[in-house]
Order: sequence, then C-alpha cells, then structure tokens
Amino acid sequence: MREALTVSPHRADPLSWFTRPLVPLGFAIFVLIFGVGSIVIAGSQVEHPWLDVASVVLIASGCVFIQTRSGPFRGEFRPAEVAIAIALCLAGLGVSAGANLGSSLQIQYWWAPVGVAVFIATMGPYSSAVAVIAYGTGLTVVTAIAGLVVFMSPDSIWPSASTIVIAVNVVIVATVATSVFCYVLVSHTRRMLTQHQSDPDPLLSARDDAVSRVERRTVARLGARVAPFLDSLAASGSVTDEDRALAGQLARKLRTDLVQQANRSWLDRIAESGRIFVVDPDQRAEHMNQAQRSALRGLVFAVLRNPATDAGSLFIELRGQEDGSTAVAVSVDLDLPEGHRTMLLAPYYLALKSTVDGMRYEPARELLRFRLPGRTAEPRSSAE
Amino acid sequence: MGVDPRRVWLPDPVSTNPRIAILPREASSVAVTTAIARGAWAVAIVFIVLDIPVLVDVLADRGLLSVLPVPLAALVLMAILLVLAGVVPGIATRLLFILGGAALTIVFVVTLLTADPSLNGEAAYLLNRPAIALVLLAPVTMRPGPGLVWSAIGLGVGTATFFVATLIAGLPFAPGWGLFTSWAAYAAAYLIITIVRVTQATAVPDLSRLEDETRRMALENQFEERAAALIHDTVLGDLTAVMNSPAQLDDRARERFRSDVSTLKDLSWLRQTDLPFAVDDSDAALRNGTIALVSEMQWRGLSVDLTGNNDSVVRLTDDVMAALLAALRACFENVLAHSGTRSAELVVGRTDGELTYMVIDHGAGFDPGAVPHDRLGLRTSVVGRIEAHGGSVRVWSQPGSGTSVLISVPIPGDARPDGADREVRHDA
Repeated sequence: MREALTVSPHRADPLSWFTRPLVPLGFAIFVLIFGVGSIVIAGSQVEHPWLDVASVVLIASGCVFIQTRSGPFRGEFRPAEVAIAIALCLAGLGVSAGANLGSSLQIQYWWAPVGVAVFIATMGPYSSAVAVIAYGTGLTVVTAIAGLVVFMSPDSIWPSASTIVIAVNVVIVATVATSVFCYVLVSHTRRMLTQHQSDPDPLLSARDDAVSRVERRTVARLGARVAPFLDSLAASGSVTDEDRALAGQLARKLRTDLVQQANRSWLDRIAESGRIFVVDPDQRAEHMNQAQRSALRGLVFAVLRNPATDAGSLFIELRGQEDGSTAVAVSVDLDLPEGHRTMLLAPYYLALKSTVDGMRYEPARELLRFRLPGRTAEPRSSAE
Repeated sequence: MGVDPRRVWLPDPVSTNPRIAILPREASSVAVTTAIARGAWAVAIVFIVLDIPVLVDVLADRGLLSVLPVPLAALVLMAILLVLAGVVPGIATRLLFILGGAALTIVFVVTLLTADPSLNGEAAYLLNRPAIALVLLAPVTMRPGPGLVWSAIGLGVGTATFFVATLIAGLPFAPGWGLFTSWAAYAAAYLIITIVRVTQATAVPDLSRLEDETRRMALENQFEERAAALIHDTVLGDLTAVMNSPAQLDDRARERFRSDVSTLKDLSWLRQTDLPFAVDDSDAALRNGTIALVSEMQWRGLSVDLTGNNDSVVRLTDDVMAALLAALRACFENVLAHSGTRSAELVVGRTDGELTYMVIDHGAGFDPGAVPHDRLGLRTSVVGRIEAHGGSVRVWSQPGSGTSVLISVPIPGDARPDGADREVRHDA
C-alpha cells in the first residue's frame, strides 16, 4: 500500500515511459492549441489577450521542461527540477489571471485551469500518487484564489462559491485522475511483478534440448579420439609403448580441454561469437545472477546486431573493488546520431538498470557503468 | 519462492532480484489501461460530488432552495451507483449505472429546468455533470477496445438523456461541450495506449525471451559440467591407467574401458538423472570459493582432482563457509609443504545432515601421534576452525602411506535422508 503511494509509474515500469518520450511534449502542444484557441474564441472578452498568450507559453514551457528532465538516461526528478516546473506553471497561471483582470469572460471559459490540469497530468508518470496530491492541492488553492479575485463579479451568473468550484474543478479532476492513475498503475504493476517473479521455471521442457546440445558439443568433442582408442585397447587386450605415448598425449589434451571449459565464464562464451572484448581477470562475470546476465546479454546482442557498430568495438571490463563489489564498464561505439543511439540503448539500459546498482551512462564516451555488490552476511545456498 | 515485495521493482539494492523487474509489455499495457479506467471512474465521482456545492449555491442564489431535495437526491444516488460499479465491477453493475444514471439525469435536468428555464444554456456546466459521468463509466475494462465502446455508449446515452430532458421541459437542446470533450479525452487516452502498444512491439526487447535463453544457457552449462566431470572420472582415469599399464590388460581393465566408452556414447544417464536445479552462480559461494582455491593451488604446483557428489544444494552460513574454505586451504598448504607430492584429491560428499570434504594425498604421510604439541598447524588451522562451528575432523596417516583428512560440517536443518530435503532454488 505504502509503496504504491510513494513510487512513481516511471520507477515501477521504466520501459513504458521510455517509449512514450513525447507524452510531455504532446501535452505541451495541447496546452498551446487549447490555450491560444480559447483566447481567440473569447476574443474581446479577454482584457489583455497577448498577455494571456504569454501565459500559455509559460505553462507549455513547464511541460517542455518536464520533457527535457525525463530522458531515459536520467534518474528520478530532483526537488529543484520539480520546483522549476511548478514555478513555470504558477507563473503562467498568475500572468493569465492578470490578463483577465477586469474582463467580461465567464469563468467556465477561462483556459488557465485547464492548462494547470494538463501540467499536473504531465507530471503524473514521473511522480508518486502522494506527490501528485501535494502538487495538485497547492495548485488548486492558488487557482481558487486567482479565480475568485479575477472572476468574482456582480454580473456573473455564478455566485461566489460556484465561482471557486468551477475555477478549481478541472484542477481537482486532474489531481484525482492522475493520483488514482499513479496508485493503480504502481500497485497493479507490483502485483503482476510479484506473480512474474514467482512464475514456475519453464526449464523442464528444455531439458532434452539441452542434453542434445551438450551431447553434440561437449561429449562428442571431448570423447571423439579417446573412445575409439579405448575401444581398440579393450578389444586387443594389449598395450604397446606407442599406445602409452598416445594415452599420455590424449590425457594431456583432455585435461587441457576440461580446464579451459571450467575456466570460461558465460561472458567469455558470448565473446566467442566475435566483435566483443571481455576483460575479466577474476572471473567476476560468474558472480552475476540470471537477471543481470539476461539484461547484459540483451544489451550486447542489440549493439552487436546493429549495423552501425564498429567491428570489435564492444568492450566489457569487470574489476573487483576493495569493498568486495565489482565495477563493470561497457564501452560501445555506435556510429549513430544521438537520438537514434538513445532509442537503441535506452530499453536495454533501463532493463539492466533494474538489475544492478549505480547504473549510469556517459554519452560523451559511450560508456555504461554499473556495480555488482559484494557478498552479504545472509545465509546462502551453495552448490557443492 | 517467496519474494520480498519491496524488492519487486527498483529498490536498493536491486541486484538481489531473481528476475528482471520489468513487466512483459502485454502485462504493462493491461496495467496502464486499468489505471486509466480507474482514473476515469474517480473523475466521474469527482464530477458528481463537485456538482453538489454548485447546485446548492446556484439554487440558493436564485431563491430556489425548495427544489433542492430532488436534484440533490439524484446526484447522491448517481454517486452511489458509480461507487457500486467500481467496487463490484461487472457488466450488470455497469448497465445498472447506465440505466439508473440516465433516469436520474433526466430527473435532475427536468427538475432544474422546470424550476428555472434560464439555466438552460448559460448554466450547462451545472446541468451536464451527471451526463458526463455516464461517458466516464467504463471503470473496469482492461482493454482499450471495450473501454472505447463503453464510453461511446455512455456518450450516446448521456446525449440522448439530455435531449429527452430538455424535450420534457419544453426547452431547446443545449448540452454544452462538456459531454463531447470528456469523451474525446477518454478516447484519446485509449488511442494513445493502442499506438504505444504497437510501437512497443518493435522498440522494446522481449525480456522474457532473454531470461528464458539465459536460463537455458545455465542449464546447458550444468549439463556440460556434469558431462565433463564424468569424462574426468572415467576416460581420463582410463588413459592414466593405459600410460602405466603392463603390456597385457587384465579382464577387469578391459571391461572398465568398454563400460566407460559405452557410457560416453550413450548419454541416457544424462537424461535419466535428476534435472540439475539451476543454482544462481552468484549464490553458490562455496562452490565458487572451492574452485578458486583449487585453481590457485594448481598455479602453485599442486594438481588437485575434484571429485564426488557435485550437484547437491545445501545452505550454509557465511562463517561456516569461510571456516571450511580456510581449513581446506590449510590442508592443501600442508600437502605442498610436507607431503613431497604434487598431486592431491578433494572428494566432496554429503551424508545425512553433514557436508564432507576429504583431502587425500599419496605423499610422505606422518604419524599423527608423534606430532609435537608445539606444532599447531593442523590442530588450529583445521581442527580448531571446524570444531568451532560444530563440525569434526578426522585424520588418517602413516609414514610412507599418504594422508587423508576428512572434514565434516553440519548442514543446518538437514536431518532427513539424502536428497529428501534438497533446497531447490529456481533463481536461475
């Protein structure tokens, strides 16, 4: 319950909001069209139409500001960023109130509360339900005061209480709708993720396939020369000096193969497919869990399969740290424009971010960095 | 497996999550659609509730408070029907809200317009709120298509209701723009979801498939390890035997060769044995530590053969694991320093309630009874460490006959027969 109120939809399901990067921009465009359209329709009823147009631009720029701060490689909104966005919205509301002071416009045709409502909706995906209620409450109070000051008139068809309710109606609606949206989305996502995490392992059906592949790849390779040799010895029952020499040679080769196989990490096996360099002197890749491996594999293959990747330009380095953790750096060299590169990397970046600590991206160096924590003191299971 | 709900999405540290904490796209789309539908349901309630103070204020301002009970009751009943449709979702409650809401909307509008015809048009804001609630009635649909259909039905019913009400009141039809704009906003939200779902199909990786592939790789890796262990234990031993054998092989050796080659050719044993339970490598600290120790000893010139039961899963505490690894290291150091041989064997086993490690060398050996009391190596670095954690150590050795050290540590909570209580994890 508490988590559903304090976690933003973007945090609960980052992939959904990465693929909707134009949502804030879309809301900004809606504010521009709706605001300017309302001012044009109202015509001479607005006392200072150009000032009102300026207020439209201010609230729309609040939405655009959210767009610029909500990129896939950015973290959560910082309080200062939230404050700037809200300040732009409040400035727009204030300027619009000034533009309509003394006008004959009926309050239900005042565009600014709709702009404030759209601004709240824009903040929604990146804010928790509690945060939306807090922003919404503040903006509701300011809108109510502005509406009362500007539109309370003896000529109005609406009495004072109705004027306040009509002024804040759409702001309250946006606050309720957005906070309910955030709460339901996060709690629903959490419930489904819990179910997803405990889904039965589908490996049972894959067993025969795996055995066949191991049979072809490992057993056949390692036993190819040895089996006929031992068969011939068992048949003849005698051992010559040449047989002893060959046995020694085969034993050395077999032992080398087994040691090589044991020393290869899962990342080394991926590197065998080419175009990827792995530096992992301590075999730290083996410390990664299945979720981390899946996410990193996704990133590696997405980059390698892209024609814009330079041959052999993917570089992965894993280094142990003094605190027992492992620092991982993934360097990609993509010959793509910034926007395309972001679109290619972002989903994999976000997936990987959901499995590791301290994830960050340095666009200038095309470098992804993250950390795998060291051991905890909890009891662990151990395969002997 | 129980999952700490706090670790389901992106907590700190996130690296403990067994699976990628991101929903498949279809599930995510259902979550977003459900959230929009619930948001619209809440908005419908807000519309009705906020209409009440406006109703009271307007009627009081026009001296018509005497007609208040009927429209007020209509709004309250509509709110009750709305709550019912949301709390007990289903077609029945939705239809009840549409039909009951339509009737109540007619009562509301007709009552007010009859009391003050001037409200028609100029006070559409007051009159059309109940009809707007009809548009936003699709509170529980989880797919965009049905959501759009239900909201279109609501728009039709709301518009018709308002038309009937003004007809009864004998006034022109002037519902205002509220009905249509509410439906347009609702429809736009569903349209955006549909477009996003289509674009996501190509832009977002199939994380479930990636996870399945990774698990398959882990499974294959475990089969490979098992196959490699068998090859090590069978044909590698056979080759060593050939290197040291006399000119004539005895029948037992020939039969063993045939049997080992047959095992190598027929992998039914690999299929018939228990499915290796995929233990997350990051969670197999003892195995990783043991392999690292063996590897280190090999670099230092001691060849260690690792054999025995290698696919059990037990749960040990970190301090027991640390003691076990330290004791093993001490044993290997002793072999390097005193045995005069450069090979040793480490046999891993499991008995009821105990995990056992046996270190065997065929070196110089010693007389355990003749070790001076001031020589603390084996006593403190092996026996002391293990006994401090409830384990035991037995040493067999004779001068010229090598040394065997058996280290046993208890497995917490493991008192049943072998295999009966394996802690199988499905992390991988």
